[in-house]
Amino acid sequence: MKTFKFAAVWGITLFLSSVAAWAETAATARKNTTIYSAPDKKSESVAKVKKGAELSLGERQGLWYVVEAPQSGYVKMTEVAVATGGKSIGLESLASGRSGAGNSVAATGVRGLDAEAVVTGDPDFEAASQMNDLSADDDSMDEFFSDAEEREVPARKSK
Amino acid sequence: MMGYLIKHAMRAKVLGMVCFLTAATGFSLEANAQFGGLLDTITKKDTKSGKKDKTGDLVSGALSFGKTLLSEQTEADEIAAGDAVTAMYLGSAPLLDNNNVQRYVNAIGKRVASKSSRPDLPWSFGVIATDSINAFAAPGGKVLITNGLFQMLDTEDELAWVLGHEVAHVDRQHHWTLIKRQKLIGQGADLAATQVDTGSDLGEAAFDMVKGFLKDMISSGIDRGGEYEADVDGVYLSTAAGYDSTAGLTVLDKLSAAAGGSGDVSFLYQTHPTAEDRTNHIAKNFTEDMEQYATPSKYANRIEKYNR
Repeated sequence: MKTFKFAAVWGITLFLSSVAAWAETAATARKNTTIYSAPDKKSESVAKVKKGAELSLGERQGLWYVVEAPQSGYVKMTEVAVATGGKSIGLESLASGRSGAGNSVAATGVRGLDAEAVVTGDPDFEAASQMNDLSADDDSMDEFFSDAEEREVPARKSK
Repeated sequence: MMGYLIKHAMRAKVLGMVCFLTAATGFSLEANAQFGGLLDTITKKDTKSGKKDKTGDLVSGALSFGKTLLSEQTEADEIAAGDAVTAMYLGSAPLLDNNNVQRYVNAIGKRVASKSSRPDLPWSFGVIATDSINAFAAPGGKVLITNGLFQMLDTEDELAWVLGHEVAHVDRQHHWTLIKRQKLIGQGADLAATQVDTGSDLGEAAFDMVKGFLKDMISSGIDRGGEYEADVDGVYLSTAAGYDSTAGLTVLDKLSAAAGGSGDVSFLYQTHPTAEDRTNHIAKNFTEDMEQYATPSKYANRIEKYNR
């Protein structure tokens, strides 16, 4: 029984540590920045890091990331660059031409698109016309945004 | 009738080429002078021969149409020019053959565009079938995003920011302004008016010269200030539409990673500042007003049904 308990505790410990490792994200400081004790710039400064310093980030809390290393605390999202994120890890599959599940790079699709190809190709007016038909109608907007809440955000800078 | 249609299509082809290149590159004074010089050379050749040629007629027609655009500057002209630009892009990469994806992207795009100052434009959005990572705007309300970029995105918030960036180009008429401002069209139209009377002997070689010159221009750079402006506008537009105000930062982090890895961002980097510079610009302009919306939207994960 003791052996079983030990194995269970050890297993849970291993699992949690692997989850913690998975949850951490590598990042670098965009500029000389401060790690705070709370997700608030008015909170205590825990550490200062220099531009380019490597950080290990935990979960996101609004505009802030939890910092796991080099010092526990919080850093503003705008002050760190995350090395990779989510699907960007899958860029290899894009380069190899493999399509995602349920989606396809059309058989007639092009592997790469460069400026020269755009300039030298023949224009496809039929396809441009088809695009007009793709424009979302009221039914489509209702389907996707029937529960949308309107926000009052400040106006952009004047033109 | 058929002859008219062919002629119209050929005129649009040249106009589209002119519009595309000015939209994509900006138009330096030096380049303008060079192109003006090229047209001068062509005109002198025409005057000498006095012959009429289909290709010359094509160029003349397109440039005459350009003169109309220059003088009237109506929204209808802007939309027509955008159609020609879009046709150029779609001539290189087709629309993705997935109606569900196209319908989804159009809904998100229209939602974001509804927060612009020009919500009533005929907005339409298209995913194009290429692995390259990029997105394009055309005057008048057409926006394209590559499947490579669409596949790279993690959340609908990120898609909304990408589309918001492109909507901003249209909203602020970045490309249309360049097209209208270029003296090329005005000069060409004047020349064309003469050529209609005297005829032209522009052959395929001369036409190829025009195409070659335009091709070279694409590498001369664009108005990067417009890109920074569209980045910040994209934050405002997508946030107003209900999305995470920080989505632009995470998209640009992905672009940065792609540039350092195997993602095809060569075309994107040819016409845009680096992702790092763009991120820094957004960060500098990220106001407290936006901070309160720095949280994933309720629609954030909806994209998984379409791009995984």
